[in-house]
Amino acid sequence: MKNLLTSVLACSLTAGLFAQVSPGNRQNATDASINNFKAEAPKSNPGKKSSTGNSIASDTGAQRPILLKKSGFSAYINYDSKFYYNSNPLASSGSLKQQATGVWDNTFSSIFGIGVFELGNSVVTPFVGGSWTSTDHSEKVLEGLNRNSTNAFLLFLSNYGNGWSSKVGLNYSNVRYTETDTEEYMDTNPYVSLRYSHFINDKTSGAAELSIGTRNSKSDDLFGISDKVLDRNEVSLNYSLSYDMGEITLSPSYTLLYKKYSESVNDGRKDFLSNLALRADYNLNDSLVLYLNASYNNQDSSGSQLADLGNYDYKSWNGGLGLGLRARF
Amino acid sequence: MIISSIKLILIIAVHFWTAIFLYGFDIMCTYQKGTIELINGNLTGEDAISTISEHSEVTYGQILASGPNSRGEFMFTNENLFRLGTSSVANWKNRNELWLHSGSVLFCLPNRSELSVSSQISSASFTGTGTFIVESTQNGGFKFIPLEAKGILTTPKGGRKEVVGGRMILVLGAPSYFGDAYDIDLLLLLKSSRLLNAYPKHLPTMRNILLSLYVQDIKLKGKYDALIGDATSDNNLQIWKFGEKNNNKL
Repeated sequence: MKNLLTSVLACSLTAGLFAQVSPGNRQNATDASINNFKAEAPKSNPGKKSSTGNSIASDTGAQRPILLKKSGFSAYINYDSKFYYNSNPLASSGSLKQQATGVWDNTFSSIFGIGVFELGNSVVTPFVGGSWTSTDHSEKVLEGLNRNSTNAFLLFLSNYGNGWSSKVGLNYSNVRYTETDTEEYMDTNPYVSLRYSHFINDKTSGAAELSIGTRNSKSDDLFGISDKVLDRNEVSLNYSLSYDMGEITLSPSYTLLYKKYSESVNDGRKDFLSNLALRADYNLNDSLVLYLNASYNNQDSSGSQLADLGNYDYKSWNGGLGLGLRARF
Repeated sequence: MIISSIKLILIIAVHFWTAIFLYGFDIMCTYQKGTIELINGNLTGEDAISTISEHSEVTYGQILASGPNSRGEFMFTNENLFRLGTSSVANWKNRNELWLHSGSVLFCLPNRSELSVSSQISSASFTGTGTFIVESTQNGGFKFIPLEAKGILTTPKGGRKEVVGGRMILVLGAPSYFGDAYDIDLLLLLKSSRLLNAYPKHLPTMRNILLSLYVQDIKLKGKYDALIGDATSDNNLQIWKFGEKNNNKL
């Protein structure tokens, strides 16, 4: 969801202004209103002063007719399949590589924009959507962790046009193990975030996002104490770059996530999670993208009342290849 | 008595120079490239023509004419501005009325304004705020291309139309009426328009333009493989089709 919304925003507001012109990538000229006019080749009017001339650039600019929906309803359907290496799938403390495995994720997701509302100096767009992900591990010993994850969300995205945008949203997440078909984890996550996008040069844009949220969870009650031990408040700060290399877009990012737990044996626990990621996207065509990604995670944890049983510090890295199918309606 | 007289003279002088500073010019050139000539209709011969440079002042009634590959930006005292495109001839008759003989101009009206635009044949009035391009056409009318706007466009015979960012309207004939309206690709226009990109400073309404672009992107259903050209007559608008087979024509 985040990637798609980010790309829509980036395309609309900033990055798209400097993207390559790719005429003819959406729809052929078939509408009757277009065909009603007599077409004249530019060669027949070589000396004209006031039209668009023989090149795309002109004083006025190229005027390409488009077709707009009457309503602000929009739909995005995505499918992603990625295979990657995970050095520490159990997030165990200690060395970087533990129970390393290959992981295969398949995700179906859909997002629906349900209107566009101009409010003062901003445009508000409500979205609803959801996703379903199956996760399979290549190591047999980890097959018990194969799972299906479901996500649903409601989001109000406000765009202020000067690079700033904000989100107010509610997520619902659910994880079930496939072997036992039992619910492992569930949470609801209301959050707000503020984002600022800017250009560094014609090919590079950057975006910073601050997000604050809370997670109301329900998980396996391992100690017979509470199934809400993973309730927490979260604050995250992310900075990402997008570098257009022509056919490939390179996107490094860094995220710092602070989690403060509040329930039962986790009351007082604090986690700092650092994530450094690099992703390269190669568009095979308008709706198919091939990507490589790698990320490094490092979590420092303190304050757990279960520290005697082990701590929650861990390090891991992931790296792999994915294929994404995008459709927009 | 003498001191009072001196005070009075000083006060009058201060007011006089303040008035000159604030109201001594109608329009000031804030950017100029190439050759832009100013034609004073009250004079004759060579005296009637002067060349504009940055900080040159223009008074209403004088004709602005830009040469090939020349352009300029002009500021009004109320912070509205307009940009004169290449090979364009325009005349501000007064603060609210522009006559465009040929070429193209961009208006940036961050404050609510009333503006009447006329070409060789046609005319229309805009009321509101917005940023828009006016391009003269061969048939004597013009294209009205709003990048972002909140306002109304009125023609004598065509009535009133709400102006929508990215929706180009043709103004035709005399008495003027509205021709067809086309939603055009704002992203492509922003990337390819020299009236937007060939100037050192961003427009003060850039934020609104980007919001307009954002709204258009959300509502986008498809793009035609065609570019709109000139209106050679009231019944003929050039549409240049392109695509894989016709790329060589662009």
